[in-house]
Amino acid sequence: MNDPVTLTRRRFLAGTGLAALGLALPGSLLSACGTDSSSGSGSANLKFWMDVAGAANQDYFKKHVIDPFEASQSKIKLNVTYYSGADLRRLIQTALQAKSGPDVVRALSASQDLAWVRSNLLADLDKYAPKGGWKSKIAEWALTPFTVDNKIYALPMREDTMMLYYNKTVFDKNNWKAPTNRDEFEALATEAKGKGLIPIGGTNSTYGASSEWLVTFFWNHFCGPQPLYQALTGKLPWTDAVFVDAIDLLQSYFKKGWVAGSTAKYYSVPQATVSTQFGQGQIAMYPDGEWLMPQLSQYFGKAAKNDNDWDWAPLPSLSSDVPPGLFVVGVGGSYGVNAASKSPDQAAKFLQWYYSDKKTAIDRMAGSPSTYNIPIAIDKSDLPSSMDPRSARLLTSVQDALTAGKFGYATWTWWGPKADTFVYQGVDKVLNGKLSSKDYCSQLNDIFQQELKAGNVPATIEPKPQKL
Amino acid sequence: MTALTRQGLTSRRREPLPIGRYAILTLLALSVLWPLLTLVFNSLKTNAAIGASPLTPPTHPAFSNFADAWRQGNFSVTMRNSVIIGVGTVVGVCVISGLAAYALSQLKLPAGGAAITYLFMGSALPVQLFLVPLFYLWTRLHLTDSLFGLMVIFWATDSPFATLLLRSFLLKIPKDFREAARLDGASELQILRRVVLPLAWPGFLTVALISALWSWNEFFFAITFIHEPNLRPISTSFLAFQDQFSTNWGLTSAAALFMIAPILILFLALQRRFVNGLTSGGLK
Amino acid sequence: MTGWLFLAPLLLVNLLVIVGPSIATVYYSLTDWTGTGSAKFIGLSNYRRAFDDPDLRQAVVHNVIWFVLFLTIPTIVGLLAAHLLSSIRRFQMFFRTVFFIPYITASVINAFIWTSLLNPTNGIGVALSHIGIPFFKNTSFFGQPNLALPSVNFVVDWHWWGFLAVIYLAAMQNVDPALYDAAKVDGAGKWQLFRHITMPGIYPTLVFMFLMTIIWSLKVFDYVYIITRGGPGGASQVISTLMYDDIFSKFEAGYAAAIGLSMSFVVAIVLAGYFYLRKRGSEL
Repeated sequence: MNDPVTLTRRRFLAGTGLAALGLALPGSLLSACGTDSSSGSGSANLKFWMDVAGAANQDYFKKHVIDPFEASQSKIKLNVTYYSGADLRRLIQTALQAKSGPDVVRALSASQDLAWVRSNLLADLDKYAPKGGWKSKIAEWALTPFTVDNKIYALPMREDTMMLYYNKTVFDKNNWKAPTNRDEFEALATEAKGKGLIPIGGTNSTYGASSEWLVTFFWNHFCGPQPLYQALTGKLPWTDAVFVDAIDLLQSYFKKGWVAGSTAKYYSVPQATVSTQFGQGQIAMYPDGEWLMPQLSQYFGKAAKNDNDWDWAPLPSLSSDVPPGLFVVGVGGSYGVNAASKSPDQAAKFLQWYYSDKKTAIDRMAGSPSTYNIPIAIDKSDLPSSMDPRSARLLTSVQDALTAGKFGYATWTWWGPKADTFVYQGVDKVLNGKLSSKDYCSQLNDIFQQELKAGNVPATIEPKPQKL
Repeated sequence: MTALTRQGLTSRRREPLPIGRYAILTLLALSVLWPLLTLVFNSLKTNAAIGASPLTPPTHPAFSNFADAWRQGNFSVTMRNSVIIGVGTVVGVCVISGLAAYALSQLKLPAGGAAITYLFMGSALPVQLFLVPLFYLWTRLHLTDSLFGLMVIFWATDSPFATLLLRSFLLKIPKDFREAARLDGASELQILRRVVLPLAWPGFLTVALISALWSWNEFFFAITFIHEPNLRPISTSFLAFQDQFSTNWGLTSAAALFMIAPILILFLALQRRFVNGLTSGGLK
Repeated sequence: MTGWLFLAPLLLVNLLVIVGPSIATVYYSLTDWTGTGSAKFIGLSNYRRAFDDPDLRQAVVHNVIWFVLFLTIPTIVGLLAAHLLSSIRRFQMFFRTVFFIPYITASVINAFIWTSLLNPTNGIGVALSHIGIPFFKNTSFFGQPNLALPSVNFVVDWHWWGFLAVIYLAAMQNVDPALYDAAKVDGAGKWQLFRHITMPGIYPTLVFMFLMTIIWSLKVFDYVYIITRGGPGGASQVISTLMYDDIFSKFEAGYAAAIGLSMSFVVAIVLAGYFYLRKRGSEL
């Protein structure tokens, strides 16, 4: 066994970090459990770590991903382990860096993946691209942010957007309609608050980066996609008044007590409680991403012992410059291959199957709203009639928005990693009175420009009609 | 009565029961027990009942939570893992810290003081300082996803405190016994085994219990170094359970009780000796 | 020589797990390491940055606040409980056991209990408002910036004071009863007995726990991480959670290493002060 003291001294002298050690790894050693994922005979037992929570969801994953894939070929098996989301990210990162961990990597959003790519933790997928046909099957807009120096290093896992969920029963009872512009939005919020409801639901307590969703909402629907595109390409600084004003508007809603009931509650009430309140009719509107959709069934209706139902509408426009019906787009997670994997070919095979078996993909998307929405072209007629219409509408609305060029930019996809982290950490300070909106934008600008110069901002797309 | 008081025979003073003191002690005891009791209450309630009134005793006790939690949380496996880790940690820590404490208390070491300082320093370093390089090293040594690998980490993190505890315990052992044994020609190791150990075993018991406790409850290293679900200890399994069933407080409370129960029973059974070990050695 | 042989296992395991990887971290503190991949040497600029960093300064302030709270509250309650326990005969064991229970429960479980109890929608605050105490109806203990840190500290204090009580009780029971008797003959009252006999009698234990409290206050991580993650907006951020954030969210592992080392340096100074005082005559 190597003497650990010599190990560290060598590292010290080498001076180029962990990657420089180059120790020969004997045999298969990715797990002390003895699962062999060597690529000798084309067969493999791929290690795959996923953040699917709950027995029901895990069964679904098995039925719609593991089983069909293993049935489609005989040599490769998937060995899946489930973790909670926050843990998964840290575990994967530490493992990748130690040149171990899963073969198929459930990677992060485009912004955060860049850091991993720069450290050579994800395998270059370009050589597998032709066989996988990814460039033709996956929408270009979704592949672009995962392309570095024209090479693909990850594939989009889930198509993200944001919308305004609302308690349909409460709305019907009060004769309310989903707001489409700022006046309607504010009037509704005021009226809801007057009736003792929480006008705008939300919480940062369970997922620490939640506040960036609100920033995404306000920057896109107040400033509009054009200024964002200019800022993302370095032509407009983040200190521009339009961005500062958006943050001020967000803060004013918090100060009015419209969001979560109070700023303190936004930061401490867990998601489960907020969802329960939403289901019981205590929250009127809930701006969130499509990832909330699969959870709602357990909080509304018979399962939750109430008579309420929910629906969703596009987020309202918050200024006259922004037309209503805008949809923010982004990619919430990605799939990649561990650069240190012993079976990269087999891992790539799995990814090829995932995006090309269209029938299985659509089945997957139909049975579980939003979680499995991959950016492949889908015809309305492909969708089964058994699919929840709200979930079907989500898929088609995002597609229509992209083809019409009426889309915006999600901060977790199009910003660089450090800037993305600052988006939510900084706004937390703003909302808690520790930072002014001006300083927030100015500090963000510094970070962003630095990353842009270093080439650490994902490639972006123009705000014009996109191909699917 | 006054005569007795003046003689200061406190143990025979006939005074009325000190109600005030018992009152305060009872209040303190309630402040400790009640939060834990809500855990017990919640474990016996269904989710709807908890939503309706979360802080009161259950009206219709439901024991289904326990069976469900046991199954869903895979507790038979994770408890077994934690027991293995615990036993291994205890044995290792007792051996390592026993030897070290003996050396520091009985044998004249020129740099003994420096060693003690070093031990203090080691236990003061924040875990973030060595976490990432340690993980990398453990991967190279095939010690990740390994109960043994976690044990070794615990040996390193628990032994300093254990050594200091044992040392102050051993300092109380009269030198004459050892001198006599040495004159009879026994080696240091034999002295340790035949003379010191029988006298010092309460201290060892305390060290064993503390190491068992720390290894049972530890979660940060556990969650970083063990990923394979069948190797997970009970602490990380509870955390995953809590995430998964965050809406079901009843179930999560039952799971929490599974985690508390074994170690609590162990301590209650051995508490007299544990406290004696902790206190007669003392932390002087 | 045997002495060093006996110390060897401890020193070895310590070197392997803690010191070795920490040395790697020393190197990384002088680089721009992101936590993954290669590292470029940048000299002392991480340290210079740490000096000016307002986030770090705020975290240090939080650790100091934490230290004050973590030292005073459990010590006062622990001493009170120990003193009361030492003066009663019946049920002493019972109370001692009960007080110790929170220390046995894991941090994940204690955090779960208290986040449930202090839940702003259906926790204690709301329950109190139903029986006429409205002050806490809308209080969000872990969500309000000014309350977050003290609230997490409260949970830790609740977890910890029982352990202190047991330790102090043991120390008190080691004080020679004859001293009390003599003082009582001189007419000393209860408070004077406590101040002039008990406190000096347990002085070494007090000093030792004081020292450990300083060190643990600098290292505090688990509860803050589990309950608030340092939020909201950094209101409960302590040094170790800041470092954790730097490593895993901001890709600034080199900077985090510099912070960690600076922290250890402070601990070293504290320890040096302790040993100096010890040499100067505290009975240790």
